Amino acid sequence: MLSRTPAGRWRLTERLAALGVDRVVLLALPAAAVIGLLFIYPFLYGLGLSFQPRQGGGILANYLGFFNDGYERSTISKTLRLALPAALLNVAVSVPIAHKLRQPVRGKRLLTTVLILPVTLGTVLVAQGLIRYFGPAGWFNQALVALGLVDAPLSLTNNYIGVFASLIITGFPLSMLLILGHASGIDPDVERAAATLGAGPTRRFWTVSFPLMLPGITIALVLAFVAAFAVFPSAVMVGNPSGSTRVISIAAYQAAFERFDYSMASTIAMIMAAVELAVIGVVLGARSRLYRGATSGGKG
Amino acid sequence: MADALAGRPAGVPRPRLTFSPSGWLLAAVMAFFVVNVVALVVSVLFNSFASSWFATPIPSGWTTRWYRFAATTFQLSDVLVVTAQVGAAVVAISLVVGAPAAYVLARRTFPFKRALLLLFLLPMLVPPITYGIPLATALYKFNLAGSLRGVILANLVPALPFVILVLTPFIEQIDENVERAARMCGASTWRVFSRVLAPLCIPGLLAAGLMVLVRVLAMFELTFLTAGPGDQTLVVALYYSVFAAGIRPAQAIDAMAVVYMLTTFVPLLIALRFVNPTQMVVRLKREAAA
Amino acid sequence: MPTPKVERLRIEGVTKAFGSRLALEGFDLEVAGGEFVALLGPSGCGKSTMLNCLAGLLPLSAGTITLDGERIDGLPPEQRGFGMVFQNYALFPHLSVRRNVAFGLHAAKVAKREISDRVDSALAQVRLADYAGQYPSQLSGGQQQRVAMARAIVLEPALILMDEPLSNLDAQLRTELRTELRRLHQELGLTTIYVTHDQSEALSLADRIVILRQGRSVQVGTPQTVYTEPAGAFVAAFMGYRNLLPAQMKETRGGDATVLLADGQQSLRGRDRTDGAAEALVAAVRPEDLTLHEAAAAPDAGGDNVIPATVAVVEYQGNEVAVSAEAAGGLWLHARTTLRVRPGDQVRVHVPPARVLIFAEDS
Repeated sequence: MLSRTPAGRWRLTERLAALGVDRVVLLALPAAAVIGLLFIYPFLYGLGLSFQPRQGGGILANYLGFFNDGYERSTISKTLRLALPAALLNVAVSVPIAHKLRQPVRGKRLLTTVLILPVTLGTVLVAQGLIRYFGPAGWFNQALVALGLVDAPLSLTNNYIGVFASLIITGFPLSMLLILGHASGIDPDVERAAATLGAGPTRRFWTVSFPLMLPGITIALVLAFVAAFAVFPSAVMVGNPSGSTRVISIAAYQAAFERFDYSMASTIAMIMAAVELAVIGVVLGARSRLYRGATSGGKG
Repeated sequence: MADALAGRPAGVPRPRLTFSPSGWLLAAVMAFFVVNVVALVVSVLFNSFASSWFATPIPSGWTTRWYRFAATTFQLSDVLVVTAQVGAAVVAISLVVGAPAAYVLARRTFPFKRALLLLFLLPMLVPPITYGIPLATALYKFNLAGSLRGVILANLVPALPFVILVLTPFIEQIDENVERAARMCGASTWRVFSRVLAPLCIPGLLAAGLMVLVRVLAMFELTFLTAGPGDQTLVVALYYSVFAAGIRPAQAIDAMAVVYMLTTFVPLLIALRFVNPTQMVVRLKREAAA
Repeated sequence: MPTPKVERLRIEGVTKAFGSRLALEGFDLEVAGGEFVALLGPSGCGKSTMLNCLAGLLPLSAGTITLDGERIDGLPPEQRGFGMVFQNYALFPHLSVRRNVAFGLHAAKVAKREISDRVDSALAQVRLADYAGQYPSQLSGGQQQRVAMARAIVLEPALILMDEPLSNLDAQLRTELRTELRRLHQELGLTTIYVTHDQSEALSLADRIVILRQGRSVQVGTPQTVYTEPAGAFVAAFMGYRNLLPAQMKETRGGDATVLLADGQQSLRGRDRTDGAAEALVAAVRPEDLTLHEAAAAPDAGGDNVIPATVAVVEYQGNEVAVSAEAAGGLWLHARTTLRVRPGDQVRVHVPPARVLIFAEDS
């Protein structure tokens, strides 16, 4: 029975209880507070800071400064030139392989275990390894020369190629595991049903498997892009951090920790977030144009 | 039906991959990738034991002196202590704070639940460097950065949502009737949590903790932005050692890299006993398979 | 009834191994065009495996499948032209009901106009014309099941395979759809192979029933045959012979046998269905074939072939009650009666000898 206060209104706790809010829900508060304090607040703080330029000149001075300075502005295109092809390649190669591996097959566990290694090693170690492995005296160049593919060792580090390779090594397993994880959850009977209805392998892939894998593919593409767009240590270690691989993270880092201009650093971080969210928006928009309909699977 | 399962590949049979021409191509791509990753790791390993290694397939001589060199030059023991402290603190805090939140998300529907979910998802959708810079700035403002506390706080941002996202589906698959049954048997709320829910959650907590540990060990950007000179974790120390290269031999840096790899592999190998590698990245919400 | 598209499906010596386990062992079956055959058996008996082998979803380990003299066991599923209805429906979640049903016609490159007409008529046949624009997740389980049927029948397949299509539905819906299935089969004359573990489904739907046990067929026959003349104790148990009383042979004469029940005191006459060699026997009787008499009221009622027992459990079931009674030697008897008995009552259970089947225990 709901009791009434003298004013005849439901007590607040009872009204909340009717909405499903009770003491148990409060258990989520500490986690929300941590994320609020350590993520949302700094983000807003940084946003505010970006409108308070150190040298003055109006609230937009930092943003104007960034876009008017060709060297700074070019970090956006340099980052996108690395991140977009890397993310697209990682996902494009992952889709057919994940489709092949979606059902239990021998060696799947071993393969996924090998794939998880570069993900857990992280970008710093991969870049560190590439310095030796991709270097002029490394095994990769030795193999190319021994196979007669090239006459002299290729220059694969301290440039775009080195950074791109590091993005593939850490990014491909990530997208592959994401897409595979999603594809393994699709009811295999659906594709079998398509086979009994006369659809051959190609038709089955494009009319059934691909649309059903699309949610996983989209998320993998978004996360692969997020990871590649944030490229930082490898751009410094195996790239050319003052030239072709001076990515936007480097610009932000230099503003904060070399020039100690936290306002400008926050500005660059905000621009980075905006560009990234714009790309994610395009990906999600394209997905909804490509394929409409119920996304939930199975029996409903 | 067990019979129905037996007839399906989901049951007993694990067919060999049959290779069509396109299948061979994919296998070749996969093999090329795996061979290169393994070769990369092995070349770091070899170099760390090489007395010198130039353009030859195998180093000309072997030695362990780079490990001793790295231990003294890079204050390896201090770095390992800091790494262990950060790892333990982040795992403990994110489990204690994250598990109750995961329970709420798994069991309750309430207004703004989607907003709460978005709040927990957001840190995973934004690269660490983007929020790391304003976060570091804010932490410096409150005199929290440049210390162990700052490093731990910063690492909580990606760790906590990860714990929540791993544990929520885990708690969802524990039958809610088990809790109800315990209550019907006269158990108090505390007893339900401690005697029924907690034991059932241990595998999930263990897996989530180990996965977070692996991630904290590999998390470069946030530690890099918030650590002072005395509280670098291994991965940051590795980055700085590459930076200072020239003064130090490459083999010593590789020795450091091998130590780093070992620290990541131990929790990883334990974690793999509990979880499928595909679950180690983000666990996507998926349809319940029949 | 329209003429069926096939004359004869022949399954010969089909064996399927999963590792070292044989799910099917030398399975033979012939199906005539237009026939409705049910594969019946408990979980793990190999019935679903057989269906998947027929569909081409699993490769055979040995044996052949021929359709009108042509071998089809090497063909991939998409070239066999069979329709299949899955236990979990396996509808395409990203396609509307209409597109789901049209899927096979698109794959077969049927003209657009014809697709539209055929989809309409298939949807009308399963009474889902109003749901064409919906998505599977918006439909109830029964409706999803009808979509799955429409999707299979719209192709007018040579053979239609059904894998426990009703097992995910509740009891009332199951009965309803069972009638509908029977109606569709009569209207369309589709040759059907139907897998189920529910004997009442098999009895009511099928022209012929194949009973499987551990990958082998143990009896093939019309519903009447398997119901009244089960080939062994296993089939009998499956066909509702709930009383399976352990027994030893006393004497056998002609087609009749007299056995001693568990405690060795009580003897029982019945029809001999043993091969004569078996030591351990069972006497199989259906609950509805037992007649109960109150011991106090009629001490001699029922003549011979009577087992005295004490009523232990009474379950009310409408017109009658189900009674479980305990006899000497720990023997339990399950019977149905209109008598108003109560737990503790002494009863005499009469067993008509013609309704007792004596089997070897492991048959």
